[in-house]
Amino acid sequence: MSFSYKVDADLTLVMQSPQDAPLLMPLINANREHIGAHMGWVEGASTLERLTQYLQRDLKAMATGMRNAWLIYYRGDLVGRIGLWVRDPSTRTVELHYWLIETAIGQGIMHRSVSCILDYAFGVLGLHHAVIVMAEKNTASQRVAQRLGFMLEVSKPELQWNADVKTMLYYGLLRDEWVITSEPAFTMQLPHGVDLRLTEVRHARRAYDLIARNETQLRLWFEWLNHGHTLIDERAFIRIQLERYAKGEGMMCMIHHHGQYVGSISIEVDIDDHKAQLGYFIDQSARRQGIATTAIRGLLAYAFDRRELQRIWIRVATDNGASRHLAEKLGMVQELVLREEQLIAGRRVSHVVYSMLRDEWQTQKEMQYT
Amino acid sequence: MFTLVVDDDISLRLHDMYKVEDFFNLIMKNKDFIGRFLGWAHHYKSINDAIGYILDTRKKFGEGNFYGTQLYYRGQIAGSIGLIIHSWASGKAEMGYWLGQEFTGKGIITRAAKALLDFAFGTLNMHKVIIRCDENNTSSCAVAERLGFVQEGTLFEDVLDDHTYRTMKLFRMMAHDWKIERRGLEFAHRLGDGIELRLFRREQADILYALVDSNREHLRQWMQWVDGTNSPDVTRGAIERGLGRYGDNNGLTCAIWVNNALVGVVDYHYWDLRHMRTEIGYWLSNHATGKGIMTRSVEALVAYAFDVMGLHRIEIQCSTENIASCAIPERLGFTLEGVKRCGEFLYDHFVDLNNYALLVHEWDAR
Repeated sequence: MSFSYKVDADLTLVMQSPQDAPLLMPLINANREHIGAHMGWVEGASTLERLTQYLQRDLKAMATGMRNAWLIYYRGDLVGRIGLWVRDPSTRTVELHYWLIETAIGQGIMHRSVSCILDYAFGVLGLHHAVIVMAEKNTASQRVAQRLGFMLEVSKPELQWNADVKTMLYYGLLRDEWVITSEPAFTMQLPHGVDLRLTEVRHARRAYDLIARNETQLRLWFEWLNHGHTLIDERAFIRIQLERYAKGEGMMCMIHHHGQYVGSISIEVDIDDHKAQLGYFIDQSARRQGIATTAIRGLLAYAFDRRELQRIWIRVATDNGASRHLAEKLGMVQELVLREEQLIAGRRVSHVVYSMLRDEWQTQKEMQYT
Repeated sequence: MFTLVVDDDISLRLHDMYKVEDFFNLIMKNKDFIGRFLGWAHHYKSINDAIGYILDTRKKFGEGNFYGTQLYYRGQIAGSIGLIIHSWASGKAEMGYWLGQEFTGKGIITRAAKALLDFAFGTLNMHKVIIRCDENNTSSCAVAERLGFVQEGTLFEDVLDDHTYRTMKLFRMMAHDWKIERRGLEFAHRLGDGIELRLFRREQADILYALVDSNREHLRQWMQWVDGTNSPDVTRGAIERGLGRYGDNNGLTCAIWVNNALVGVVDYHYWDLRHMRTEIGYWLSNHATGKGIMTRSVEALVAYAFDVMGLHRIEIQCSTENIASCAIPERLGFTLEGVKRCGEFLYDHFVDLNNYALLVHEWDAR
């Protein structure tokens, strides 16, 4: 239950999430010498707490759209990590960083992973120049770069974290020198042709357009739309959502149906109380096809199974028959009516609260299997 | 909401939106009179100027730098007096004041200032209070002199106000020169029988911590934050956040005092001014329960939210098993709207929450 892309039959890249530290820690511990030989941060990542901090810092940077990272799974096993970092957007240069555990080396895993991320960086993100920085002694990494067609651009001594001076090699590749063969999308695959993708800042235009297309109706439910919602607001909103994602406090996804962007779904997690609020909307043209049902079930699975939350709730305007019907169909329980709770476009709106508890979700799952 | 009682005629009310129209009208009526020495008065045009000013003083109050008040004389707003804290570390503050023309000549400012100085030296433990007034503002200078302030000097062309430089007289009063008449003066919302709602001050983190610490078992039954409150730093943070919310006009935390002892807390978690709603939460120390203290405190916050702030809906959530807590919204006429199952996690188990709400028309019709 993560945002992933299947590179080929053996290899899958999974977008990094705040819950990854416990997965990575044993891997790093077992390969401390091997990875640490060329990478300074390994020594710093000495405890689970420190590693969690590192990951959160990385994920926070994702909110700026300048950074991202993926875990590398080979035949179902976690074997490494690859990340990209756009230090200076004006040059459209992206740095790639990666490591593999010792036992996974020599099977072309990194070659294929970097290929995939290059397709993503050049093709999807529209970047221009990719750079891999490595220590002169890191011959395995040099081979990966050379085989992919990277050229040695710079070689210079650099002061290291531990006050050593090491010769570092900068290998570079231009977009024109690369043939794009795939269009990676990191998705949470659901049944019936539906998938969820994390909403990133670069998606703001599309998210904004979707809202604009449905504005007349959405204005009845979301008061903030009645105060003028601009593309800049949408971008700021996505950034906030990504910052929340970094802290494990929420997640906002785009819903795709057979590759078409048709809606938005999000949860807001209350960590202290192990509960989350779910919200969604579907484009007018895509309603009545069960897309929302599939998307909500997907997010319920994420919330209950992956995040182990206790309570998921949803707030529906009392006169929103379609959404109320859907909540009931999903087996959610109507708990209360928040009377005249919001003031939307000058009208007092009451909301019904529906919820599902963890054991109800478990029962539902068991019933599906029997 | 919070007033300092000076005498039978005069009280000082920390700036809020109560009677903001009267405050604005007083300024408009006295534009020229006030404006002779305080240039800002000339710029007043609409009620938004008064509201903006009050929100600004609120912000500064939240940051801990300003006690700005509306001065009430026999039930009418007569002017304003305030204390700007220049430095808590050095204990240095400045007093400022103005009156509407029709209220002058009655010694009102002198009486109010005496009480505010008692508050500054006696309650806030200030070391030095200064007054600056325009050298031509004879009546203001006379107040300072009558209070026993010493002129420390003249600040030549110190303030640029409406394109003219004002030369200011600088007066001072030192703590050791001030005879405190009334110790322990406080800004409070008085509910009778010695029950008062007050704002927290940052230095009260220790007494708040002591109260939590001596009630751990009692509070832990229903409150999520008790175990995490393991040092006065935590309560200091809580006080800071509460004042910050008030400064941002997004909620208010009140300390409940009974006969000058802190016994609990009641607060608005937030003020949602878009949807005109709020949520109230509260807790009381063990020995203070069962006396109706909390019902009266919550009722005061309900009245303020509806009658002064014009909110539409107030919510209260209590654990379904917390009978004493549920009794409060029930007694005040709240409607039980439903139960949030597993709404809260308490240390090792989930509890269900009763969701109560009261709407403004239900309150008005009571």
